[in-house]
Amino acid sequence: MSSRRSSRSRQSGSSRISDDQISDLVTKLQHLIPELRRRRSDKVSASKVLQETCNYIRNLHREVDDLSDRLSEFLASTDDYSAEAAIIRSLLDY
Amino acid sequence: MERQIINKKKRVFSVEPNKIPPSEVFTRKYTRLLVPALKKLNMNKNSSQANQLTVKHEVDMALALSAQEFAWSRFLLQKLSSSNNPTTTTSSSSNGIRIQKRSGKEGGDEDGEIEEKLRELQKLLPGGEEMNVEEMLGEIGNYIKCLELQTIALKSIVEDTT
Repeated sequence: MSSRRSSRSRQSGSSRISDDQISDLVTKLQHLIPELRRRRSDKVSASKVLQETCNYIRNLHREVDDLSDRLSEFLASTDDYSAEAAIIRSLLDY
Repeated sequence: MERQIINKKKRVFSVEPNKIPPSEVFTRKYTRLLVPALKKLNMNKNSSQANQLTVKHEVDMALALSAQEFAWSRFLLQKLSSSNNPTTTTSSSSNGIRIQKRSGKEGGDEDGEIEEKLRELQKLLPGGEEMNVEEMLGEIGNYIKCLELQTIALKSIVEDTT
């Protein structure tokens, strides 16, 4: 049985990824991605975590695109965008 | 005069005024960058597609400028500044460092899948394909966080205007 802990992973410029890095990444992502936080199971495969992460990022991109389109519709439809009011309101919310 | 009023009404979250949570710092920066930029835009009455691209450009720009401490924001900024035509947030570069398949295939399919997913992830992160693996692993977490905060900030701006 050959060991998979490759010494090549010590090179900082290396594009080869070690088991440790994968497991670190997976742990980190499990806490970040809501879908994975909800499941709370110990045995989630690395591939599944990575897939969920990609899906999550794509969803966020889509949401941003959608919000951006709505904004642009609004801006085009009005000549009188009261930016100051929006800024003040946003600041008050925080 | 308006500013004084704003400061008085601002809720204080902690006793030490310097300890503002990073998420709040980001969201404020983002809103303060984006809203004035949007106000300056000249909207094209005829082409909604042009408007969408213009607004998207500002949306992405505000993201990059609000998160300058992270490597991915520099890549995003580069991409936005270098093109006259605003782009989407997905990376189209394929010249960078690619995650290669490892040798030693025990349970081969699983490894192949992981490598594939990592490559996918790399493409989703701005500059991901130009980073080495260590960097990418460090950046992905804060990229996701900033995307989430951006979404929240945008929702709040959209709600204010509609």
